[in-house]
Amino acid sequence: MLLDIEHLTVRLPGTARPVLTDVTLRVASGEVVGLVGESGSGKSTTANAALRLLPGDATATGRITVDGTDVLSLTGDALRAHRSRTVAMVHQDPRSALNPVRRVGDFLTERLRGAGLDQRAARARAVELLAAVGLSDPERRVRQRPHELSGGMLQRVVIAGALAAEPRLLLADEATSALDVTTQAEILALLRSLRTSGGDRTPGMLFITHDLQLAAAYCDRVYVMYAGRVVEEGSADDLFARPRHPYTRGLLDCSPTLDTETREIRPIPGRPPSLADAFTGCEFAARCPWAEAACETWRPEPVALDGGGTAACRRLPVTGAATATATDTDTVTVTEGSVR
Amino acid sequence: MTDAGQEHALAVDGLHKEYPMPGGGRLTAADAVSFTVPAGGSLGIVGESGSGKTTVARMLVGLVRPDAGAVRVAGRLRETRTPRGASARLARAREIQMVFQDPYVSLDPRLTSRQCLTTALRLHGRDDSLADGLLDRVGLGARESGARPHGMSGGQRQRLAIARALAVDPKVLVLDEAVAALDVSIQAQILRLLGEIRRDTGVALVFVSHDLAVVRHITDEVLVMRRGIVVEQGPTDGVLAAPDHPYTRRLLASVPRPGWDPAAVVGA
Amino acid sequence: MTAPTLAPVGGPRSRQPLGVRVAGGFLVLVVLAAVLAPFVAPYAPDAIDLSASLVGTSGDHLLGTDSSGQDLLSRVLYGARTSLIAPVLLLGLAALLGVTLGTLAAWRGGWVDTLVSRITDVMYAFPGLLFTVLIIAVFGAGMTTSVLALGLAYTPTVAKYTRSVALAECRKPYIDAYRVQGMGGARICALHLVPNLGRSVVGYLVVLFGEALMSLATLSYLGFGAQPPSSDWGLMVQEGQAAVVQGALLPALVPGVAIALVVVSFNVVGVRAADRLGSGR
Repeated sequence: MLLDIEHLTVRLPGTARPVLTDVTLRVASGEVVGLVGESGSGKSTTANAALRLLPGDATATGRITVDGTDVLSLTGDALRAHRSRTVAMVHQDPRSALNPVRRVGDFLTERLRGAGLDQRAARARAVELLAAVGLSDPERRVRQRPHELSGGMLQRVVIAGALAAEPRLLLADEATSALDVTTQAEILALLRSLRTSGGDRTPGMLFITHDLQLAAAYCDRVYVMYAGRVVEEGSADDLFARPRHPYTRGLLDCSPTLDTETREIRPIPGRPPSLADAFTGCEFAARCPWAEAACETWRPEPVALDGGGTAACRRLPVTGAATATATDTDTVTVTEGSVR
Repeated sequence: MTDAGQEHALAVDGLHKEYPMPGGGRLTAADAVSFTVPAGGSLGIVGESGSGKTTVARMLVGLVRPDAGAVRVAGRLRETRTPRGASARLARAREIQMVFQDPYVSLDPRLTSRQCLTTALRLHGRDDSLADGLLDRVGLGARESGARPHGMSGGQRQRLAIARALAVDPKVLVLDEAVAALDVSIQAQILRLLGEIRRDTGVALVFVSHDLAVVRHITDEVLVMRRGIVVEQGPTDGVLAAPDHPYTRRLLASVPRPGWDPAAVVGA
Repeated sequence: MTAPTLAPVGGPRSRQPLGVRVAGGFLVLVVLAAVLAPFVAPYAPDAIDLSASLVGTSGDHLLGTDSSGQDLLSRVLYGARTSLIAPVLLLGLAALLGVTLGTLAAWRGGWVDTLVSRITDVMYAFPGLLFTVLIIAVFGAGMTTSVLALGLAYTPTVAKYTRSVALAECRKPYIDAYRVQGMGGARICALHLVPNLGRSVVGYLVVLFGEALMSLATLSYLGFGAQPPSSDWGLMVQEGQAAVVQGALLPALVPGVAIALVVVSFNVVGVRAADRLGSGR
């Protein structure tokens, strides 16, 4: 397993609930995994945790391994190598990743030289990378500065930078949300083409988005998060066709689509919870149309679904007592302490 | 279409706007944009960045002065420049109101929700007490009434922005990417609210958006813009079911759906 | 889409740094001294006692006396009054003019902006002290003229700052929303734009305060500002320097140190306040 997060709980002082509660998530080599949620669901924190980029006063319990390496215990050079080589992150705003006064080529050659290439080789590789991410005239692009390129072109440059170190795991955090839809399709096609590129070292991708329609259409598997917890996990097709958790169903029911038959959109009442909201039971109970009194005190547990996947809803029938996540519990090593 | 301007809430004819470019030359932000919206109707303007859709929205409300073209509200021609006198300015404001994209910066940070509404009401000589009805209309309660923007969620702020626009009882409401910055579950609430308002008040909506699915949901007619040019316009269902223009087809193909392959869009 | 509380770099919301707390505490003491001078000062500030000329620190005179035998502690305490009130007045004047000009330039743009910007640039290039001395040369020396002249001298910098923050604020859609509502430009500026600039402008004025105090002290030292028998600190330094030759350092040192400590404290507190107020919300 490339990225393996087990029972990760992250707490911050001064918040009423954990930022992440018992998050278990896996990404295999060559797999595109979606992580979907609204504001404050903890999806970005999950991605940052894979880079060990948690707030200084956060306490994390659980285990994160990337390619067999225990991320939470990394320090110093090993942590730097992890962040610069093993994992690469692409954010929503490419402009924040690029130094506005330096040339696009410098951004790439700097990373390549960090990976051990000499200046000439780095330069040549930078041009190759820009061509690989579909930028026309890469020889000219390396000499341009960020303000001369459009948002879509810059996001390609950032992706080229992410690929420079040939990472094992790519974290895309709303990487296409700020782009036009046609540009988004181009970038997504590019990102998907990467995983068919190289045999055993094929990178995996965690694709973080607020858009369930997009995740379901683009990813192999999807995790849906709500209030810091994974509420449902399953193959994209299953999740789309047969959502089992009321929140997943709610998300699908409230997003407008291009379906020709006019479908009434049904908003989820209320608002996504903030870190100031504490819960005694299921976090979604207050907004759930099927909530029962017992839901207010039931601590959500993932239940294995027939046909694969899990969902954490009290009203789902427990089909197998021992779920995939439950069997692993006794082998989990728990790391406690401040993580930075 | 244009000669029947009397019966339309909004009739736009030949709007044109150019901007000088830094290196010389001119950028056409909008060219020959014409459309009509009946009272209680809803028109979508769809396009990507640089399509000119926001320029059109700002020309409608008078924030940008068109180089050519006419905007009529209920048959009355709007001045292209802001009138000098207060009464003419206020009368003009009562024709078209606007809701902006980002509710985090479109509300005055110093004013509570209620103050935000009473400021608009007083300006137009209307009674302060109408504020409570407006807050109720958009689903804001007593707690939000005394809250300032930073104490409210994105959805609550956008509800307030809608209430502020409704405070002057406009004939036309222009919404510029008004749900784009909101969480999915909140976006649906706002879309439903807009549908109710349109039904109850008969206000005509001009819905500017990049999101075809949202536009399909809330509009009757649609205008597809690209680089300042209207490439296609017609009934929303028709245009989205059987697009004529290749660009409209490409836009449609870009919308994620089950079995979607982004690479096919690139090829298209 | 990410909750702001989850920023990757974070830390406990700590108390103010030690330096800021010390400086702030000191300024509170200075303000108290100014307010309570009549109650805490052992002597009247202008009580002359030629028999006790230039005595060093002693039980009777904690900080010694000057050549006229005036008690330095009392004079410094009373001097805090002019030294604090005068900068408030001059910055008030500069704020009134500067905010008006800066807002006008930002709102109207075009030739108005060009005109205001050119005038402020010219005044900027002209040394403020020289400008002040010129005005004083025309209208005569004195505290009132100094405050008015320095108020004018500080106007361009306040105008320039206001213009830049007003330009950024004008781009926010809530200002557009007022225009769409049909509100007139003057009303938008006066009732909604300027109040929203308040925090950053006040933060900037706090930073300027130390500098203004220093400029006033300089004028008094040069004899253009406060006139005897005032216990203004700048004037005290000037009066005290003759005694330095006679070997008595305290008459010049005491007010000099008072000026230095207050100016440094205002800078420490001011920069912190500007960060907080400017980035607030």
